[in-house]
Amino acid sequence: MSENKMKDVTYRSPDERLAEKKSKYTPKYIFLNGVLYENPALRLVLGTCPLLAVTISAKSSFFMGLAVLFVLTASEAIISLLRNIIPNKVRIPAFITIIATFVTIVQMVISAYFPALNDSLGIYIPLIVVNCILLARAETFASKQKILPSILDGFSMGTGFTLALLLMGSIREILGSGTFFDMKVPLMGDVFEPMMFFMLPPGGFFVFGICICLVQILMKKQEKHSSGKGTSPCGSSSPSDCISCAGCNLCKGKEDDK
Amino acid sequence: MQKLKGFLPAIILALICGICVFLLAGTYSLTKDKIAEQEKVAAEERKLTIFPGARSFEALQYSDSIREELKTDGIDPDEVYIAYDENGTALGYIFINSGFGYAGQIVTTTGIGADGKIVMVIATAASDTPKLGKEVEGRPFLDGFTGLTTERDLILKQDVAAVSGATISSRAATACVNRACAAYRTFVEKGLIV
Amino acid sequence: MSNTFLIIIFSAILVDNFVLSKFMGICSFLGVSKNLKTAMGMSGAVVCVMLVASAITWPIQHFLLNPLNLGYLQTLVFILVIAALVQMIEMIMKKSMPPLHKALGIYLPLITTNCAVLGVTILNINSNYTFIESMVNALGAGIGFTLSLFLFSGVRSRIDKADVPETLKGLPITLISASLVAVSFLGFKGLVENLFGG
Repeated sequence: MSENKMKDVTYRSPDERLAEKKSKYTPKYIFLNGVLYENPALRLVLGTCPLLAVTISAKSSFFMGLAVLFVLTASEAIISLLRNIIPNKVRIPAFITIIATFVTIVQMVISAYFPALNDSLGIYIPLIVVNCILLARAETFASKQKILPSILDGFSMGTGFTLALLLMGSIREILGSGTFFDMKVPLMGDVFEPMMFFMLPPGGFFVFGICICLVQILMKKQEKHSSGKGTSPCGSSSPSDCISCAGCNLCKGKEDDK
Repeated sequence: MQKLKGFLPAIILALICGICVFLLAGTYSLTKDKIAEQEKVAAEERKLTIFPGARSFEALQYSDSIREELKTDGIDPDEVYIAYDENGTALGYIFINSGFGYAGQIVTTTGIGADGKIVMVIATAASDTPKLGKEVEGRPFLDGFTGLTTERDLILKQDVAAVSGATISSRAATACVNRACAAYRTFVEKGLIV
Repeated sequence: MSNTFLIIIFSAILVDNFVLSKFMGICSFLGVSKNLKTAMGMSGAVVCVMLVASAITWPIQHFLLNPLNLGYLQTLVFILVIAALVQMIEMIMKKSMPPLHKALGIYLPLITTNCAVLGVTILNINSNYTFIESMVNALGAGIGFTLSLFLFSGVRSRIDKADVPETLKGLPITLISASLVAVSFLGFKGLVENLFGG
């Protein structure tokens, strides 16, 4: 059932592909798309699990972002390279295998060279495998584009995700424990008592909600300035994201926007 | 030919899996030693924190029959070391025990001085959620053990104050320390430790 | 012994609720909690897959990967097992239990990428649980997931009727109310301590 649905959604004729490539995917567009317009965390709301869990400090958020950045870039590169070899039928398992491989490599490297980091990220490193961003980008971008745009897409999406993580991590660390990258922030602690709330799970949800809200306001302002520039909130071709990633809010968000 | 085509996706998938496993095996063999080394360094550091004056740590040798006996008593420690200073005099003994805490395994490194008193306890709690179940690693709780006697079992909330809100983990850590002390008593009894 | 089970199950459901405190399965938590019916369908499917996945991955880890020294393949093997499992459960359900398939069918393919399932299988191994403890943990995690989805779908149906400020409409207000639900779950933190800590 779902198999067929996916095929319909993702199938494009070669001519269409070519047209799409030429018209849209200039390097600048891809980069801005990843970091801003379709920021995976704050615009597409993908990969919320690590976004909420590891952002209790700026440091762990930053390194989590880097891990995702690496896995995303590497797996998109490989998937794009193999896009004509992988049969459509076994596409998803093949993507998962490739992604899991890179995640495990990252996991091993981290525990070999940064044991303290391994301690603070814990189970959320292997869970990168099921991070919706990876499958969504593999499905919508890497499996259709050439290798260089795919690498750029992975890099910019990863950067966007890292920046979002860093933003959340900084807010939560500064307000929650009065430090930033383990350094004391002036005023915090003397004038303002750090608020434990931001370190606890509810604080994660709260900060995330506020961040999304702020980004929405900013984007709306920007759209007014340059309307019709193709910066719609959910971007280009996305229904398949919803299929591959547990109905992650992509379409729900769209509904809500209306 | 047609038949083969049907199998093609499966073959390609298997091939991809094979290559991935191969890659992983390669990375594993490259990082394996480093990971083991990191663990060793961390363990060594813990031992040095307990006995800063020590120059060498030697694993305590004991016979299988004693090991069996300890096992039946339920106090078999994972590792036992003797800490020597530069003159070769024993400063004390280190017992590494593990137990089950609230969020996972707790490993305690207990240092017992030559005078039979606890020098210092270091605990590491495995926890998959950042900051959860890690309360027992805190110094205020662990410092409560320093200077206590090894002659009898310690009782939580009487000899040592529990971490508030983490009683289960505190109890697990105390149980680990008690097992270390019990093992120490057995070794003294057998004359392995003077 | 039964005390351990109680601790595991209570912590998995209330104290360390998978969704509200470990943030696993947030995607589906936000995605399908719009109404009670879909929320319950998704939860049912997740509980099924969690239990079966735990029952399969535990022996794989302890009788296959560990003896062969292949521990590093854990993530790869587990996610593939879960993906295959989901497919298989879907096929079996379709054949033998059409009504159940009708109710849960559309949620099954989405579960592969639900981190709660992979999360619970890895946690079982990392926490050194025995087989039975793993199953108890999986059950607790599933119930916890169901509970949070059930409660939150109620909250969301209220939000739909409420007059929300324009800028907060949609996802932001959903997340902020999720935060409040999570606050209420913080109240359970002392529960396990007081019941079993003595």
